[in-house]
Amino acid sequence: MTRVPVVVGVGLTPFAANRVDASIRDLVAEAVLACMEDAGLLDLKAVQHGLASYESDHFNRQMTLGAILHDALGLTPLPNVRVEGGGATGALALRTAWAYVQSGLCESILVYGGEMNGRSVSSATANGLFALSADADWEMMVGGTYTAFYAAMMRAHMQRYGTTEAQCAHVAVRNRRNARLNSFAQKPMDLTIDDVLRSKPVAEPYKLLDCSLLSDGAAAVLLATEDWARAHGTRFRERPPVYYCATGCGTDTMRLGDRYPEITNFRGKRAAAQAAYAMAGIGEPLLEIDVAELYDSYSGVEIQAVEDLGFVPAGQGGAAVASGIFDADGYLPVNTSGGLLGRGAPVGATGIAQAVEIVQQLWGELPAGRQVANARRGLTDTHAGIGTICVVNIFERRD
Amino acid sequence: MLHANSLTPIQLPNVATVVYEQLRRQILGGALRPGQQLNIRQIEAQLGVSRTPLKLALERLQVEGLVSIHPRKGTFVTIFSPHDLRECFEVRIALEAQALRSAFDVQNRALLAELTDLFARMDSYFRNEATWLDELVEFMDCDRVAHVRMIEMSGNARMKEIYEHANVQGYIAVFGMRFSYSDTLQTQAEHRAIAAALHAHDRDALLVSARTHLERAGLRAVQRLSQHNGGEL
Amino acid sequence: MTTVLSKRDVLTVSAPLQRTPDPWADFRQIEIVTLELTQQYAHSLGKTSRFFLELEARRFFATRCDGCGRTYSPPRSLCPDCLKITQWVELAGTGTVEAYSIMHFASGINDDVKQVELPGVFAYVLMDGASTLFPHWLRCEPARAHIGMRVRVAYTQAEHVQHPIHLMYFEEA
Repeated sequence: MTRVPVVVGVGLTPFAANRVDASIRDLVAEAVLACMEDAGLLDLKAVQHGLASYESDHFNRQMTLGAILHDALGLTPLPNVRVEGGGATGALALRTAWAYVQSGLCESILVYGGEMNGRSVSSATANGLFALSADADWEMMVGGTYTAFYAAMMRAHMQRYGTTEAQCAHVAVRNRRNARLNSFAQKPMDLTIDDVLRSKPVAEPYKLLDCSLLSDGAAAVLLATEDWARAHGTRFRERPPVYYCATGCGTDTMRLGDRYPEITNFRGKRAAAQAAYAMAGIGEPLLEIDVAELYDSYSGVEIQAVEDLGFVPAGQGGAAVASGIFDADGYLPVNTSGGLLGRGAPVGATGIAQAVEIVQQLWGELPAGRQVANARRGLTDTHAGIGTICVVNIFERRD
Repeated sequence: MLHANSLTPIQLPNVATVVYEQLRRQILGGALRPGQQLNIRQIEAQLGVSRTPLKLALERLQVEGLVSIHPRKGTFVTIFSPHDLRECFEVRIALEAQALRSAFDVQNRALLAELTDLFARMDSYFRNEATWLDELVEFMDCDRVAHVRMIEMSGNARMKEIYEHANVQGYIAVFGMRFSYSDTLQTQAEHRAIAAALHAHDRDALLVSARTHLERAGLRAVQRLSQHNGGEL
Repeated sequence: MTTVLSKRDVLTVSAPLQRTPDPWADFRQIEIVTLELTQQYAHSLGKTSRFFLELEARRFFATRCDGCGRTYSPPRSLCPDCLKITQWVELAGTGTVEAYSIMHFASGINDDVKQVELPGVFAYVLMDGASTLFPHWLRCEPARAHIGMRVRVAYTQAEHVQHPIHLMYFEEA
C-alpha cells in the first residue's frame, strides 16, 4: 500500500488587510474548523500529528506560537512541530508533513498556519521587519528592502532579455482579475495595463500595482494515508482522490550579489522544480501540468518563475505571459485564486493556501470561470527571500 | 528579409523562385485571402515579370496546395475547411507514427541531431514584435522541414510520396500563420518532449509524444481556423 | 521592554464572510491596544569587522579564497565553494553597476537610511577585482543610473553616521 499522502480536507479564512476582529489563534481556528467541515472529520482528536506553519515572531507578537496554536485547537497531547522557511513557510510545512506521513511517523497530520502581516504595524514597520529576513549585517543596514532586491533583479532581467514593464503589468492585471471570482480574496480589481503602468513608482521598474499585499489570514490542510482518509474522512469517498504526489526543494545564497553572474532568475527554483518533476515523472511541464499557483510577490516574479519552472525557455517568460497562455482561459491557467497580488499573502498561510486552490481545482469544486476544465495535475511554487528557499509541490487526481 | 505584406520589383536571376516566395508569403501572411482570385496581369505588372516565371511559381504553389488553378475560370487561393484540417491531421498521425517507428530503429541519433538543431532555431525567434510575421513564416518552415525529415528518415520513398500527395504541408503552413505566440510555445514544448524521448532512446515515449503533438496541433489548427474565419478559411 | 501606549479602541465588527447564522455572533466586540516593543543589542559584526574598520581609514577591503581565487565583496570569512578560510585584500574601490532600482521609499531601519535622498538609486556593483556584487546607495541623478555605469566608493566622516556600513556610498566615477 502506497504511503503517498492524500488530501482529506482543506480550509481557509478570507485574506484581509486588517482582521481587527481576530488574533492569530482565532484566525487559525477558523481555518481549521473550515478544514474539518470540508473533510467531514467528526473528531479532530483522531488526527495523529499537528504541524504549525508561521514565519514571524515579530508580526504575530508571540514566540512559541506553534505550541499556543496547538493548544488553542485542543490538539494536546498530540505531537506537534513548527516549520519556518521565510516566504516558503507554508509550502515547506506541507513538504515536512509529506515526509512525516511517508516515513510512517504518523498516518495523518494537520498542517495549519497563518500570519498577521496586515495593518497591525505601519507599512514602514512591516518593510523593516521583512528586511530583518534579509542579511541583517549587510543588506538590511544599508537600507535594502525586498522590494529593492526584486526590482534590481527585474531590471537585470529586462536588460538581458528585453522583458518590459507592460509584460509585468499583464500579470498584475490578470491575477487581480482572477481574484474577482474568489470571495476570499483581498484585492479583486478590474485594471488595465495602463492603470498599472501609471501607478505610483515604488522601486522602479515596480510600481504600486506590481506589488503584492500585506495580509491577515490562515489556512489548513489535512493530509493522511489513503487508508486513514477512508476510515476518518466522511467526505473522502465522495470526491476523486487527490494525491500530494511530489515535492522538491532548492536553495540559493541569501544575498543576490553573491549569485553573480546569475542574477536574473531563481536557481533554487530550477532545482526545486527538477526534483519535483523527477518525483512526479514529469518531462515537459507545460504539457503535463494543468493548473498552477505561482509565487507572484511582485508581478515580474511570475515571469521569472515560468522560466525557472521550465514552462517556457529562459528569456521568453515576458512574451509568454503577455500572450495569454497563463490566463484563466489560456493553455496553462496560473493563479486562478488571484495569487499573492490578488488574493493576498499572510506568509505562514500562503503556501498552504496555494495548495488549497490547486486541490479544489483537482476536485473540480470551484465556480465557473475560475475552475479549469479537466484539471488532473496541479503545481504550487513558493519561495522565501529572493528565491533563497524554493519549494515546488505537485498534486495529482487519480480516479 | 522579405516583408510579408509588400511586393517589390525583382532584378534577380532565379525569377520563378523569387515570385514563388513572394506570393507564398502573401498567402501565408493573409494579404491574399482564401478564395480570392489572383489577378495574373496585375501581379505581372506589380512584380515586373513575364508570364513564364509566374506560371512556374503558381504551379509550385498548387503542388503545395496553397492555390488551385482552374482552366478557363482562373487561379484562386485555396479555401480550407475545419473538415479538411481534421482529415489532414488524421493522415499525418498515421503516416508520421509509422515513419517514426522506422526511423527510430535506424536513424535515431541522426534524427535527434537534426531535430535538436531545428527546434533550437525555432526557439530563437520572436524576440521582437516588429518582425513577428516574417519570423512566423520561418518558424513554420522549420516546423515543416522537421516533419518532412521524420518522413524522409524512415527511408520509405513511397511514404514520402503519399505524404506529399496528401498535401498536408499546405494546410499546416496556412493554419500556422494564424498561430499566436502562445501556440508557438505549446508547439515547442511538444517538440521538446519528442526530442527528450529520442534522447532517452525510448520508443514508446517517442510515439506517444509525437501522437500527442499532432493531436494537439490538430485541435489548435481547427480552433484558429474557426476563430479567424467564423468557421471557414 | 513592552510598553502599552494606549487602550486604543473598542469596536464592534461585522463578520468578514456573510454566514447566517454567524457562528461567532457573541464575539464581535473587540478591544485593541497599542504596544511598543523595543530592544537593545550588543551586536558583534564578527569576523568581517575589519571591513568596517578599514572604511574608517577610507580603504575598501574584500576577502579572497586561495582555493578557488574568488574574491568576495561584501567579504565572506569562509569561502562557500571551498570551505576554506579567506584572506583580506584591498580593492581599488571602483566598479560597475550590474543591477539597480530607483527607490521611492527607504526602510526606517536606522537614521542613516532615513537620511537617504529619495528617489534614490539602490545599486549592485561589481567592484573591480571582485567576483560578487556589493549593494549600496549610488548617489547620482536617478535618470543617469544604468547597467554598465562606472562608479567608485565615496567615504563619509565617521561622526556623521550611526552604522559603519554608511561610512561609504557609491558615486559616479
